[in-house]
Amino acid sequence: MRDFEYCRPQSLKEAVTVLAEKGKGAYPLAGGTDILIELKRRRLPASCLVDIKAIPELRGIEREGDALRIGALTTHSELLGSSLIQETVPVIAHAARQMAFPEIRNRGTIGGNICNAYPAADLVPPLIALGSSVLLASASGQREVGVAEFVLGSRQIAILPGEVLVAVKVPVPVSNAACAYARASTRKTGGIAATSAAAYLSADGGVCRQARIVLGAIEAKPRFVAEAAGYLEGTSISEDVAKAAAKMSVSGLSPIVDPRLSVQYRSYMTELMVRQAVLEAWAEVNR
Amino acid sequence: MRYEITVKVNGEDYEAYIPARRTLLDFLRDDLGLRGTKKGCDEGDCGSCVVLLDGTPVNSCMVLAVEVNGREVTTIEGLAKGDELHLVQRAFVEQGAIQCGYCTPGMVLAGKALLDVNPHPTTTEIKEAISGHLCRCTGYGAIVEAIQAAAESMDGGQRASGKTGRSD
Ligand SMILES: Cc1cc2nc3c(=O)[nH]c(=O)nc-3n(C[C@H](O)[C@H](O)[C@H](O)COP(=O)(O)OP(=O)(O)OC[C@H]3O[C@@H](n4cnc5c(N)ncnc54)[C@H](O)[C@@H]3O)c2cc1C
Repeated sequence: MRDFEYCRPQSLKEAVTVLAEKGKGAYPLAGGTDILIELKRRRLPASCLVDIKAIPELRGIEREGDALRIGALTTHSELLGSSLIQETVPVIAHAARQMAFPEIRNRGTIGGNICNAYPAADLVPPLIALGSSVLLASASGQREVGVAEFVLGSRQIAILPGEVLVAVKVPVPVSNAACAYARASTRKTGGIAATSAAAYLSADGGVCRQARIVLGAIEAKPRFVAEAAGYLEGTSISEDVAKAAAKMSVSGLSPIVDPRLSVQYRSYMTELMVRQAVLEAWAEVNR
Repeated sequence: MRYEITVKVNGEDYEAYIPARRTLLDFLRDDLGLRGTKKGCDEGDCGSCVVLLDGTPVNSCMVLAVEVNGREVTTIEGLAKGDELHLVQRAFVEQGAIQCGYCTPGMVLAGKALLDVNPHPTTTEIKEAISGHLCRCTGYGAIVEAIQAAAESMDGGQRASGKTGRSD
């Protein structure tokens, strides 16, 4: 790693001031499980790491009306151990459990997972399917952006210079709605997703009212598959309906190159993941 | 840039003046001479550098030494009390769960951290706890059995309280 400065602000105000002062080469440091690899491989021109872990405003999981507010520093271990998450958005705990292994989950954070914007980031597809947004703060104020609009592509996010992701706002699905996430990997644990799918479904009288399907890992950017979602809406979802929607989901994809796995295989697995996520979400809705 | 840190390692206080880019792994091995912690992939993938940070297992190659200022680190050297091995260490010896030994410090610490929070783990829970640790001598079976045996041999007094995963 190249030499850099390090500082550990104690408040959000102090952090955004430091980030504004240090300018271009300053990066927030959360769990470090992504950024340290970038620094070791000399792919990031960082001159200063602003360790945000002492900032109290970035912590905690709370219910705020019909949404959950998850602090940016919440680790994957905390996500999967939270009874509040388990009761309100179990899909987030499920996605966190798919990631890496205990040691990385003990350090890696939800804020880092979103800001790193790796195509295979496991929390991103379910967060988008749920209609989540991120709360951002800078020296000049606060704003809220949908996760779908925030993640622009592989390692690209709509963050402004000097901004810190403070928290993620996740709408809690109403009683007749549910979200499920399925991912395929080369390894059972420790392997990143080769492809993944999240499905959010709501129902009314045994018929699907609203559907959102989001694909992860296969393309540079998480993709909404509107056609397949539209196909599900108004139907009573069966195995065959899910299968047809899954097939629709993979037409016209532009998969990123993955040296480990062929495009053909990943497309096929994407289809299976969509089918699985749709059927799981539907079973949950009708429970 | 260099920074002053104070850190408790295996119960002893250390003060150091170190560059921000020094990883906790390199700090332990090169500055403190604690070479029980192994350096494998240096990218968080293999588990040979795992140590306990305030009781929680982490990959020390993925932590900067400056980040642990004021915290407590336990390495494999800190488990035995004098000549008396920790129960997990003893179980590894008795079950023959060691071959080349490179993954052993990380495996033992992961096993200890598991038993601290879950004294009666299932085989699945043990496998999950060591899922971030690679062993290339194909010794997983014996390692799982050793952690199971350590759990069985443990009595209430030996158990410390542990914590899981909070980002400091
Ligand atoms: C061995 C290994 C296995 C992994 N497996 C998986 C996996 O299965 N699935 C998966 O999704 N990921 C995986 N990862 C990647 C990583 O662990 C996660 O993406 C994690 O959530 C990153 O969070 P972090 O806190 O460590 O981020 P950091 O490394 O601290 O930060 C990542 C980036 O986000 C920025 N950032 C962080 N927090 C904020 C904030 N609050 N505001 C603004 N910017 C911020 C940083 O500046 C940096 O650019 C793995 C990593 C390793 C090393």
